[in-house]
Amino acid sequence: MTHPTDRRADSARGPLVRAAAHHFAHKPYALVNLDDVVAEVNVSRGAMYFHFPSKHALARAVIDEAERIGREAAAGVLANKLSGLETLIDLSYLVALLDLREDLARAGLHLLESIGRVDELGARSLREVVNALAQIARQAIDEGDIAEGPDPEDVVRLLVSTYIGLRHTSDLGIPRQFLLDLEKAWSLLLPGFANPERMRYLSQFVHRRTVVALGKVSPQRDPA
Amino acid sequence: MRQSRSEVTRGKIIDAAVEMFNDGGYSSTGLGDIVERTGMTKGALYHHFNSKEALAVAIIDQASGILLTTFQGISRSSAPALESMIHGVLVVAELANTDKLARMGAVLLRIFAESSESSARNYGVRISEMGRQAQRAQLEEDLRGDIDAQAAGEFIVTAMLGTELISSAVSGGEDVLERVTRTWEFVLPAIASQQSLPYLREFLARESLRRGQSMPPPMRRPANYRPWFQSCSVRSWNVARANGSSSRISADLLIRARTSEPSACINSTSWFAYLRTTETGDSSVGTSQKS
Repeated sequence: MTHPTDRRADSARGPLVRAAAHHFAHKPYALVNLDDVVAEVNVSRGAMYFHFPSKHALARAVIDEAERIGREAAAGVLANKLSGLETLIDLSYLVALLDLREDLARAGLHLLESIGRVDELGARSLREVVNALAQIARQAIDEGDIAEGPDPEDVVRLLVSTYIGLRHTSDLGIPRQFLLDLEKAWSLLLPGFANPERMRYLSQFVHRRTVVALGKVSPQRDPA
Repeated sequence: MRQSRSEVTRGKIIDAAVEMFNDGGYSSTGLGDIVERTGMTKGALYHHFNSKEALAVAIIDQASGILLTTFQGISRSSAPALESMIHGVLVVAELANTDKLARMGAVLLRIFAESSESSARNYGVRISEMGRQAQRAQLEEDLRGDIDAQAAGEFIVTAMLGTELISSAVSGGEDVLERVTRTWEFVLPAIASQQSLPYLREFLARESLRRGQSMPPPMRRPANYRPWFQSCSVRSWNVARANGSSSRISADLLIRARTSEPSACINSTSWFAYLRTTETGDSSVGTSQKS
């Protein structure tokens, strides 16, 4: 939370968080040097400590900011009013693209796994995500895309675990590969809970999003 | 974001005007009635809008803005462009029918269609946005490679505006989603590439599910199925004749269809299909393969 009274302070806060995100996205937490962060922004060390008394505080601010953009982007996907399972698939591609292209998102996810593991932050954040997604999975059961039987919470926990796992087993540095691995993960996961009659449609739905996402990470294919 | 006081007042006037145009109709509501409803002075209202038409234009612009933002939001998603076009048109049609301001905007847009620069501008924005998406759809190989993407975009806007107009005339907009879905069923075979068509049909069939209704059974078509309106002229003529009230328009379209390029032929014949289904209530046309 920022205080509206700190006008001048606010102006330094944003750039500090962005610079920190850049470092946290590409280096392990322990190797990030605050001097490098300060050097990137035109701010004194004192001014930085005014906002962020520790590296941990700065990291938490990065996580907060990443969660904010994540929530905003997710709200955009929800506003599209697709079906539940389509929404879950779209969300996974949205997260993947943010993870591949935005330092802030990537840093936030890295940090949730590193410092989030030892404080309550990681658990709380994952619980929130799982609760929100379970709601959507419930909708997908009502719509008949997810077969009756599995607990919606189990389904989304599997999806979230797979994504987090993919961040380790695949390579965020090779966006093409990462997206193809995401598609493979979906094609292996879907038969586990999707309605068999809808499988053909759903795997095409996934494939078509992979193609669009690939176009977004390789600029020569991007029509824009 | 904080609104200035002047913006708040402007918003209040617009809200009141939408209410009153809605209740009493545009032509029989005067600026004086709106002054009365808002409780502000005549001078204050005239400061914002110096005529009833200026107020109407403001409503049209604001309504179009809402619809355009919604459509663009859907286009920005991770979906291929043609999916966004199909889904976006339906979401916007629903919004234009449920949101009071958007609905009034559509009504006023029609009233001013021939006389106001604002209508031309607003239709123009829609057409160019749809054309942009159609171009993307062509790069993604969902839109047929041998048609002009910009023209396809314009045709979709045209067909959907006509559909919304008829829906609002016939049912007060109650059945707009059904009708827009049906129009898409006719438009898709004309514009979609062979390899994407089956998938896109299924994507369209799921629209009812997305609105919280159960899925209709999948459409089954014989392997040699060809949309009937692709065999252009003779059949269209029969449809036109069988369908007394629309025969004049149909004949006109038919002449154009015969004299211009094939894409125009597709345009006009899908309109026949459309007119026939709407006027005879015969929903089996084109969907007769539904089991």
